[in-house]
Parts: sequence; structure tokens; C-alpha cells
Amino acid sequence: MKLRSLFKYECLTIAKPLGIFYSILYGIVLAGYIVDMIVGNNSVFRFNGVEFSCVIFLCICASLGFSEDFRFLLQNGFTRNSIFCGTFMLYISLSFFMGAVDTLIAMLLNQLSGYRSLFHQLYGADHSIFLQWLLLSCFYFTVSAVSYLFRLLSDKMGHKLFLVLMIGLAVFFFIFVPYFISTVLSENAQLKVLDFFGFLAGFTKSSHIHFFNPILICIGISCIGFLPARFLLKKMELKQ
Amino acid sequence: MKAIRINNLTKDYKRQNQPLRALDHVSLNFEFGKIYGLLGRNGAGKSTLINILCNRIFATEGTVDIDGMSAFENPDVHEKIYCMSEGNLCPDSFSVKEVFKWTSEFYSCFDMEKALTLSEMFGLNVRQKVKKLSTGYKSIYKIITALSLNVPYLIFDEPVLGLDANHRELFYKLLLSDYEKNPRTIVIATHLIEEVSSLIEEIIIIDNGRVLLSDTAEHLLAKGYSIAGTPANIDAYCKGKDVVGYDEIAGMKIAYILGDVQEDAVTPDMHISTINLQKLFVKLTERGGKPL
Repeated sequence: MKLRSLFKYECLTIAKPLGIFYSILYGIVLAGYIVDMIVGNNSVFRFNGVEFSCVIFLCICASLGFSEDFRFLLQNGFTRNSIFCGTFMLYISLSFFMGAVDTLIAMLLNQLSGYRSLFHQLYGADHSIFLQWLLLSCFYFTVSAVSYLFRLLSDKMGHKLFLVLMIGLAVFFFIFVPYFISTVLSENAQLKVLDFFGFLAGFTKSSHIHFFNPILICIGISCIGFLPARFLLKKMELKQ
Repeated sequence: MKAIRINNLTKDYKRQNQPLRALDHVSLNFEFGKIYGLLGRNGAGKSTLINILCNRIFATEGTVDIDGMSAFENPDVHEKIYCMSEGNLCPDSFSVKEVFKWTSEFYSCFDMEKALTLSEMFGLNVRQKVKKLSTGYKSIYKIITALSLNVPYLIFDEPVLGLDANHRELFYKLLLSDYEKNPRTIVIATHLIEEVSSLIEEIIIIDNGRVLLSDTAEHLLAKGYSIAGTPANIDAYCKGKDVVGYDEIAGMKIAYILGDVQEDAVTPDMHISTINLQKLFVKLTERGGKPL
């Protein structure tokens, strides 16, 4: 099957929106720095967490780009299996690329103005650039996988039912679970929960950070995203 | 053997929690090297059948084989079949040239030069974005894409939607000329029955999800005739005959009959002529899908 052509299609069609996104994002950052330089040392221009803009971009790509690509690729005789493989390869490449861009620019901004990336804020500055890139790429890949799954679920369930599900999940994870932890669990249990999440993020009781943990978590969540997505895609029909 | 073989195909949908059978145990063959007309009323099941052939939707039951290979999720049939759809399946942001470019990327048998030449013949601006094209030109770019592909099985689903008479004539001319140089299977699903009647060799009529009729055009048209006369004479003539339908115009009655002319029952005021395909189709599908 023409997987190479499919991958080329996926990459070239995302290139323009990606270029526009980075131009706007780092254009705003650059504009901020120029204003900062003009105004002088007393300016209040600060920013952080550019990575979350990239997360939003990835979510939008996964949800908006899916229908058009699915229809066009089906029209051109690709099987659902091929479409899934092409999408999977795209998200891996995109995650690695965006991880590299954001890591390099974060390093540059850190040198110029003390900018702290998400990685720096969590783990500090004394770690290899390779590790920063790897962790960020895994994070982006996880976001892509989950967004893709959500998109397919939305198609399968219908948008209204999917919205109800999302609201339900948000209420459960952001309201009920924190409430439960803070009011029902004992102080000791609360500390154990925090320790557990810290462990998942790689923090240990000694000062050593196990980066393997968050990487493994990202891979695990990505599998949870992509495996059911593959199953859903296999059953997906063109809407007439 | 080179053919598309459809065996016992059934497709069920659920609409507002009610079951709907779009195709009901359809079995057909599309043999290599013939032009087929796939005719049917709105909602008869033509597009459903075509979408199953092209792996866009799944059958509830039954199989489709293309040259002995299953058409279901099979990458090996990729360069064997192409369908020009009624709906637009290309990204709206693409220009026509981009659609051609990607088609040539996906199919090794796509002739870009031919596509550009045909675009000029139709007066299609290839730099125009697909979303900005009129209904007619949307059909045209899809027709050109299909005609520029050298696949053994080519399916057109309402190819002349929105086309003016000149463009329709040009399309039929190009289709026939292409077929003469490069015989392959062409299936045309259309409502414009009389226009395609001179092109098609085999006719398949689908009604309410079932195959009502499958025959050669020549044989089908020879199967029947129309007879016009006064209502009383026509009613008398039609006794015991397989009448497909009647029309009444200005006091005259026309009967559409399948079978041979009964010469001894024809009176001088009656007029016999060949039955035309559209009339036959209308009358057959009017009578609620009773197969021949």
C-alpha cells in the first residue's frame, strides 16, 4: 500500500497550519521582547508555558483535520488500516518535531531572558537537552493520541452524547476527585496520593528524578488512546 | 475471471431507532470491458451499493469480490477501482490542481497531462479552490480526475449533476472515446436515463434495495413496445398481456407492454412504437418494484 504517499500527504497538509501557528506564537513572544527592550528594565512583560499553546494546536489538529482527511483518503482507495498507520506516523513525527522546536527555542529564550519552560519549572535546569526533548515529545504524543481518540468517540457516539460524557469526566476528575481526596481521605492518605502522583512524574524520596516514570506514563496513556482509536476507525463508515 | 462479483449484499441502517434496509440480498456481476447503467429512483440503493463496492461503508451481509479478491479493506484492490462520487470528498481548501497532484501521488496510473488537457477542454480553472467552484464545475473536476485514471473499474455516481448540455455532450463523447481506446468496466449511476441509453450496454435497475432488472440494453428495449389508441381499443388489446403501465394524453391511451406485438389484435387506429428506456424505467418503478 502507498503508505509513503499517505505519510507525505499527512505531513504536507499539516505543514502550512503548523508554520502559521509557530509564526503567530513566537511572533507574539518576539513582539513582547521587543516591547520589553524598548520599555527597559521596569517592564512587566513575562510569559511561560508556551507548551500549552502547542497542546491546544495538537488537539485542534486531531479533531478538525480528521474528517477531511478520512473522506479524501477513502475516496482515494486507502484502507482504514493504512489511514490509521499514516495518522500514527504523523503524530509521532509531529510530536518529535514540535518537541525539538520548543526545546531549542526554550533554551534560546532561557539564555536571553531567563525564560523557564514547562520542563524547567517541573524538574529544574540541570538536565540534558535530549531528555527535555524526549519528555516533551512524549507529552505531545500523548495529547495527540487522546485527542484522536476523543475525535473518533465523538463521531461514534454523536456530538451531544460525547459532550455530556466530557462534561461528566471533567466534573469527576476536576471537582469530585479533588473534593474526595481533600475531605474524605485522612491527612496520611492525602500525602500518599501526592507521593503517588509525584512518583508518576518521576520524583522520588531521594532527590533523584526517575524520568523513566513520566515517559512510561505517556507511552501507556498513548496506547490507551491509540488502541481503541484503531478499533473505532476500523468500524468507521463514510457518512452519506 | 475479471469481474466485480456482488453476492447476496444486504445493508441495514437505523434511522431514528427504526430499521431501514437499503439493500436487500443484491447479487450482481459487473464484467470487465462493458458499460453498465445503474438506474434507480431516489433512495433506491444505488449510492449505497457503490459505496460498499468502494469500501466506504460496510455491508451487513454478503460479499464483494474484484477480480477474485475481496473488496473489503483490501489494499490490493486499490488501483483496480475508482469511484467518482456525487458528494465532495476532497478538502475544500484544495485547489483543483492540488487534487490532481495528490491523485497522481496516490495512483501510479493517473495521467496528469490528460487531466490538464481535459480541464482546458471543459474550461476549468485548475488554480481555483474546490469550495469556490459551481455545482457543475465540481462535477467536472471529479469527472476529469476519474477519466484521467487508468483503472480497470470506473464508477460514476451522478456524473452530470449540474452540467449544462454542452458539457454533458462533451463528457459522453470523451467517455466513449476513452472506452474505445482503453476498454474497461464503466458503471454510470444516473437519473438522466435517456441521455445515457445510447452509451450503456447493460442495464441494472434497482428499486427499494432490490435488483428489479438486469439485462442488455438491446434485449431490454426489444422486450417491449408501446401502443397508442382509443381507450376502449387499448383496453381490449391489453387483456391478458403484461402491461407495465399506461398514460393518457388528450383522449388517447398509451399502454407499455412487455412481450411481442399481437398483430391480429392491432386495429388501424392504433400506433405501435418502441418503448423508450426512461418510460420503461418509470413504469417499472411505479408499479412498486415487481421484478420482470
